[in-house]
Amino acid sequence: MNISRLTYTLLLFACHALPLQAAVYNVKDFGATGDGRTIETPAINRAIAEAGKNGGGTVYVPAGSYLCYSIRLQSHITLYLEQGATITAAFPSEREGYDEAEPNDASPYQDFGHSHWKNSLIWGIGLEDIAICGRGAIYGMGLTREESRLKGVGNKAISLKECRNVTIRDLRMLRCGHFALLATGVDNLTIDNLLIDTNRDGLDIDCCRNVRISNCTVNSPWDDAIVLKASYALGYFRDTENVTITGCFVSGYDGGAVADGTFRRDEPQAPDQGFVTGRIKLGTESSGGFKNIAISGCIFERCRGIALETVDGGRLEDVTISNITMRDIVNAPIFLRLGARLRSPEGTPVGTMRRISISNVNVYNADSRYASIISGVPGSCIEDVTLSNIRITYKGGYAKEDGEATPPESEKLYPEPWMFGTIPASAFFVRHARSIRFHQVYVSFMEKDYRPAFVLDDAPNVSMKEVEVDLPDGVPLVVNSEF
Amino acid sequence: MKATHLLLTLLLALLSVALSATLPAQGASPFGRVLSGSREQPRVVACDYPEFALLLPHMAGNLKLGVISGSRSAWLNNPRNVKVASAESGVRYEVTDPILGSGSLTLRVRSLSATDGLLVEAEAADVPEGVKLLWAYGGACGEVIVDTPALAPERCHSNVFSVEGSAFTLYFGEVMHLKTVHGLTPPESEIRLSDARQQSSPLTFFQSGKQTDAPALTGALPLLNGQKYYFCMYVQSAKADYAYYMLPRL
Repeated sequence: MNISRLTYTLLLFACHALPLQAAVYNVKDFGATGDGRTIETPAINRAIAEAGKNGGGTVYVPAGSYLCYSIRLQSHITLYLEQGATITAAFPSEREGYDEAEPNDASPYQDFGHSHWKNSLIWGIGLEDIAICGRGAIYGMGLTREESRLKGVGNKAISLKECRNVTIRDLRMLRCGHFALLATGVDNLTIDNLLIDTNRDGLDIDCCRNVRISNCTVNSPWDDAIVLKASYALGYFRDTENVTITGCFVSGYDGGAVADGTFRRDEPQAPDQGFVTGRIKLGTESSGGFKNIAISGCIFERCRGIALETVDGGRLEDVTISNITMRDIVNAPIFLRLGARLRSPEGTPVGTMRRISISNVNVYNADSRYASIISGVPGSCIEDVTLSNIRITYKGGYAKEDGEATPPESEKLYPEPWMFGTIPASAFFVRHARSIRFHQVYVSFMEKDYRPAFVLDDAPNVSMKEVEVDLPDGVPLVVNSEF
Repeated sequence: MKATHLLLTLLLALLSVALSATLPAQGASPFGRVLSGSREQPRVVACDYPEFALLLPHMAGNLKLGVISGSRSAWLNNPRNVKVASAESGVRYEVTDPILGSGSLTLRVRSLSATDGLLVEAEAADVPEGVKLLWAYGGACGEVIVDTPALAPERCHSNVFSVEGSAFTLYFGEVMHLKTVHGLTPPESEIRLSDARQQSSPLTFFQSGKQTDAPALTGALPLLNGQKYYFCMYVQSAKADYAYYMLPRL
């Protein structure tokens, strides 16, 4: 008896022995074949509908390859993918495809991908008590990461809107289009032990409350790995709050190179021409706010650095980032940006960023062009940020003349370190920020860097304690434009 | 009499426009056939053999073709093996090659009306079994160039190919000034990221691997007699958003 049959038998036994527990619905009993050629969506949706009609249960997908278009979840359903089972996103054809993107009056305020949910491989709207789990895989072969609006095109692997009590666990998710997971307005969300290796965003947590993301590996060289957002896609402002991200590994190896174990680094560039992405980020969509966020015990490799961004009017407050190690970082290892893009309903004021604690962070081999950046905009300062026990080794290599530039404000631009051009500091550039504390900060360079280490501009009340920077002779530790 | 004269003038003018759009231009560049744009500001250009480039006016890529049989392969760039003629607001090529045996490959090529782009229809007749068609696309440097718009490795540095099935999006240019061009190729294509520094033959290019500072895209597909294969490289917009199944009717 093989493992999957044993599991199925045990599930059946549990079902019969404990009649009060939810039933098991094997998709093969509803006509699925698992042959990798047949479109299985009707059979799987029949199994889900039957389970839903009976009050819920486990929809069981045994080993096999299931070619699908949109799978429509219902409340009180666990979609269980057995080891060896793969749900593969089919390419849309002239006659068949994914469910159509539903109308959304709020679509001007965020990208197309964020504004619709039904044009996905697996989707649920307004559901409760759902799970997608098992050691099987979701392969988004036929999903797009691009911008086609053709009828039948799908662009997300899992998409959830206004749901609660959701668990996603143990799956492998490969090449998932625009998003491996888009969760918008979801409360009580647990994401655990996923292996995601994808061609655009990994986990997008948008306007969600009480979220646990743990033990996930996300390789996403062409966009962000784990990203918290607060868009206006629901048609109303909603914060993303009470979120923990722990024990995760994020990276920008070649697409597929983590899942296949080769960890190849042949492809240095992302489509946006800013080098591989694969980071943890708050933003860019930030109409609502972010509060009570804890990111800890995570590893970054061959990717961009950590980014906290609020540019659309949201309040980004009470965030801790601790016990992080990063290697081979292709842009600013730490990037804090309060901006004024304001892609929100008219009249939305500039947001806030305050009470941020970044501690116990080690960075090795970070690109030096953009150093690390803490920047608000004129009239709106980032406030109350503590950086403690920070160790950064930059590549270095910039000249004294590079330290004389005045970066543009770029208040309304899409936030990325490149918006400022080459930064005049070698360690930290701080502008329009107040009450910033650098305590136990140690910076060194692989190649000598002749820019000042810290450049402060409109940055009152900056404190430094036990700050050590390996500077060439004659290069100042701090340049403060106020003096 | 006056009306006849007017009609004749109109016909001559139309003929002149059609000829100027498809006849070879004077000069050294082999890309003398202007499929879209003007002689002074060409946007889609072709050679007297099946090789094409998009100039929008920035260089947005070059499409070239070859054939493979076993360990032999050849680029379809020898004008002596090509009969070329203006046809249907574009160009018609009939290509022979020792690899094609006594058979031939016919290509009908034209620009698109709804956007900047190129549409190629290819059909083989009487070619031996086992022959593959090789296509290569790349060299989109994103700058206005004055020399030959070939698939040159020094133009490939910023090229990032997002491949989805047999379609691709090519990203190029610089941060904050991104450019894209879309490509649709036959679903039978086996597509590989390849090294534009290794183009001595189609097979060498196809097998070159992706460890390079000059990435380009290659694809190989079985060339079956009587089957029509389509290629479309274009700038996507709300009015021009295509899937492969739409190409025969485009």
